[in-house]
Amino acid sequence: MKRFSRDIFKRDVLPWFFLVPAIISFALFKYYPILLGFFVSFFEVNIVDLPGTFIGFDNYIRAFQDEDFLNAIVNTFQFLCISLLINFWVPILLATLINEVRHGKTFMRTMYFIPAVAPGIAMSVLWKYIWQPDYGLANYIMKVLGLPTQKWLNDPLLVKWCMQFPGLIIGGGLTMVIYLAALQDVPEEQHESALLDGAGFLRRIFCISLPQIKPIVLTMLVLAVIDVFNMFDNVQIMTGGGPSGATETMVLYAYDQAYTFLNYGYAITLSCLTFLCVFVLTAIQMSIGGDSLISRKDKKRTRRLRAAHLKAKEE
Amino acid sequence: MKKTKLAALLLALAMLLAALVGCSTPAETPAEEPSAPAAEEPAGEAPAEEPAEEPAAEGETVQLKLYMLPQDDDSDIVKQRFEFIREKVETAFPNYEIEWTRMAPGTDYRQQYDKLLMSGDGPTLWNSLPFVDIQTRMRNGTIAEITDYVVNWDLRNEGKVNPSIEDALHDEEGRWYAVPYAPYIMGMLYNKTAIEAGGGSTETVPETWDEFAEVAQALTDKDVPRFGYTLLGSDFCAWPLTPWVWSAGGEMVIPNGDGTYSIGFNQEAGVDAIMYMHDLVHKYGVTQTDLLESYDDYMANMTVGYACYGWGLPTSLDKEKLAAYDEVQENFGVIPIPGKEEGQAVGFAGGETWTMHPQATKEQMDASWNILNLISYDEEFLRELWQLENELGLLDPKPSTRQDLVEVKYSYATNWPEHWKEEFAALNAIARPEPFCNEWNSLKDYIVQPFQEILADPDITREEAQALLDECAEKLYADFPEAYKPAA
Amino acid sequence: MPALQRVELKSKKGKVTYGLIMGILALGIPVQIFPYVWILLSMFKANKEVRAIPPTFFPNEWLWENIPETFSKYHLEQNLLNSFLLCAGVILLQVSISTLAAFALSKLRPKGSKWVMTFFLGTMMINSQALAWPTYIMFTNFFGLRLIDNLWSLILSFSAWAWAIFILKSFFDGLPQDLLESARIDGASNSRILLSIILPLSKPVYAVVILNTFMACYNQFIYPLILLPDSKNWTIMVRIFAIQGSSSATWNQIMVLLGCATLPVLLCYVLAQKYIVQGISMSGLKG
Repeated sequence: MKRFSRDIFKRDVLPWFFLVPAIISFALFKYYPILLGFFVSFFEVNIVDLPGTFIGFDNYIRAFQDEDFLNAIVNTFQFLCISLLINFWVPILLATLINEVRHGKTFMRTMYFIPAVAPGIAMSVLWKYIWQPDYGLANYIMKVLGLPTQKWLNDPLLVKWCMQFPGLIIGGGLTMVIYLAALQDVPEEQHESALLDGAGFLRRIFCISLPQIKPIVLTMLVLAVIDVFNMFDNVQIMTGGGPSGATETMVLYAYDQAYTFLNYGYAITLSCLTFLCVFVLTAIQMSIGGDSLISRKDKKRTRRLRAAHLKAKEE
Repeated sequence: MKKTKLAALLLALAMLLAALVGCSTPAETPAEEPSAPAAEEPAGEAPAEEPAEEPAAEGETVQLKLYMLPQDDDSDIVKQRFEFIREKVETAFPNYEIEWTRMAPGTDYRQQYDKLLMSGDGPTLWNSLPFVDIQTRMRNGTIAEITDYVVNWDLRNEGKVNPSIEDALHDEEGRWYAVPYAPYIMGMLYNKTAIEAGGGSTETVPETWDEFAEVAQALTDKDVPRFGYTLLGSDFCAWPLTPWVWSAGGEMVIPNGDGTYSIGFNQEAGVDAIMYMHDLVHKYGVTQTDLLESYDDYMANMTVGYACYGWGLPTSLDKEKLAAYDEVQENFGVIPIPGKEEGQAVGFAGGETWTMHPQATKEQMDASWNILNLISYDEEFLRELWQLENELGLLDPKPSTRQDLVEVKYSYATNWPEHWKEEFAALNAIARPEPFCNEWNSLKDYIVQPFQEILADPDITREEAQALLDECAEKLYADFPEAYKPAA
Repeated sequence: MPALQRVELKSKKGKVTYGLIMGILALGIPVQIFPYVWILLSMFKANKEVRAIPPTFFPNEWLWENIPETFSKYHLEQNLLNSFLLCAGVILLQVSISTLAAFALSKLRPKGSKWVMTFFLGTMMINSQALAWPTYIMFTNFFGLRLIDNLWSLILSFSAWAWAIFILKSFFDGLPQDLLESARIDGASNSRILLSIILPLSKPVYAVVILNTFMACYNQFIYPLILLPDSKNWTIMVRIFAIQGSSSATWNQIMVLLGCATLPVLLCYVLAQKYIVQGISMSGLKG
């Protein structure tokens, strides 16, 4: 009996000591604030006397009637489409290309990995400067090329593309390295036998390499969607939501509601709705793509690690 | 598997929500490292936190928090002026324990103020709220009522307090919430260097819209680049719009007589003004292309000579700032905003006020009252300050807060460039105070979007612009029924 | 492995394909580094020159004093120090918390550990702007302490990051279970197993986690802006945010600022690159 309880303690109770710090930290710094947010979204906040007056679902009703918020939702989805159209595949392409490199591998990898990891805010400031229509570089280049100058960020039709453009030309970074790692694990024998069957280069890329990295592509897709929904920094810096609301994203609109119009309760309501949107989208994606978030065991890796461990033991 | 995960998440959320509703105040189990965070913070001496009941004995210290410290990147001469003020205040009131601090720059100071109030902090006495904010803030309780002080104020009863913005500072029942700190005027700032480079002259002052468009067109050369007029962009754009509407003979808002206001910017004159702005951009092509420009870049355009005319006041360009662009104050000046017709030119008057923390104690309010009286209304102090400001090149053309000292102030201005005195006097004579109705700032924020939309579309017709402005007005009526109501 | 086979390279078609790939990549390189070169050169330009038309590539005159001037005007050294202190604190706290949790979830697996994992992963969907305001309220009175303007408020709130737990767990999952079993039979305790068996094997994945934590934390600006209102506590990103827009900063100073914020980080990445690549290919990240 005594032995039995000690085993249970060891098996079921002791591990929780390892989990407790993380659970406390997540509960306090993630769940508590978001729930405080949910709580406050039922109030009209009075900043001198928190939380204010209870108004039930009024904030939620208001959100669905708020044209500006609907506009922000539309903008966010447009950003999502543009991002999928001109950003999402760039790291995959780069990884596929760099995977073929046989001369100066490290150099190429560095050149495409490092520039893309720069701090986002710094880059937003720089790109804002580049797009400046009066004396910016973009228009200068247009002039040199003999093309008509554009208004870039000032043009409601162009502005979203301009914002996502940096991701098109500088699209490497960590994501690319992850794809690259996955591509390098595609077994060589498969390519060899496909080659013997007469499959050309492109054919092999599409039929062998890409299917192999499909799970990781799906994971990255989930993350990309979450990223677009949380888009804030670059919009805030580059346009502040303008021109005429063309880049007002959901998060930015919530931020403006809180800090410009002092509707804290309403702002939190909008944040909660954004959160729900992401939640639903992610759930849909995960159910389509299987749970690619949880990685499967990799026999080769296990072998490699065991060898490493044995080596370490010997030393 | 997937379903379980989703269910688990939802359940976790629901559980926590239930727990939260149970205890709505942040009372939780102790964190993992209770000892760690205590490190630096001196346990937050938020002075204005609770209305302490105990009466302060004579000579007992009063704690105050003043947000007047200059920012890191303010010029040295601004810092010098602050040091002067600090020393005077501290010498005059040795009993006051004053914490000098500042708002975090980068975001709107109004947002900063609200954030501070929420956390039980904030300035005991504050000199940054524009008078146009007072009507809104007295209603949402974020500033203290100071009726007793104002009603029994000898200076005011003797008629020595500048009355120009008084109406904005109290409600219909005569309850006061603020007193003037620094009235200012604004007009059309010009850069002489740029104008002369464009073959123009500052001798002739454009008085009507047509004249101005002509002058600006002659000056503009987008390849240099040099713009005849520079539009203030982004969120600020409604600020200079107001005087342009006035100059067409219109109003942004019109009082209904019952405390509410009806919207004026979508009437004839308002549409005229906005369409004129649109024409400056597209028809005459005299402005910069970037209408999302930050205030900073806008001022830089002005100083660097990219723009000939713009919205502003030359004293906002102190010597040190100008030196960064190899410029001097001589080359800047100000003229009235031209009128649509002859004789409709206007100037614009704004200004900040003194306000107190809504939860300040009686002692703190007494002390605050004494300090503001020293800084803004003490003759001896003001004379010394003007003297210093003149030496530093900071003396502004703002009318003095002391009605009886307006002329005295200008007599100190021996360092102004010659043409300023005349220009300031001309502007002062036709300056009108900014509208100060309830939710005025919301109106300014709401108008940004239609305004940007109109400016962004080269082919927009007057009717389309009208429709956009009507829509904006309707939205204001719907969202702020207590402040805005259509005229009967 | 490369899809293009060695034998193919000998044929003409293979050579052309390979040449084409190398050509495209080589052409892309100037584009990749262009922004940094531009920042680097603009740091030394005169204020007017940064916005001149037509733009100049090399400064007309190299103004080295731009850098010390900007540093002394904005106390950038203080901002950088704050950034690094913050990152160091977060890395220490967050990585230790995550390691413990990942170890328990991967190797000890108490009842309900799947639920716990979901509890962690669920937070990946919450955007941090939504949390900023409630977090601010929480830290104005955090168990009786006012942690506003205190780095601890940030270190604590960044300590919860599901991504780190996820990566570490995936990696630990790949470590052979029998290694642990044999250690356990030898009488090793859980903490001993973690310290002397798991950690030494996990160096590459820690390189990834630490660098990413560093970057995520270094890039933050809304949280620090809200939680650290006093400019002497600002991180370098908050400084950039504050300086552009409404301040008296000139464009050459902004360029110095961008340069100082960006180049050290890139350097870190260049130095650690080898470990990151290794870490990623060994962790479960690639699916």
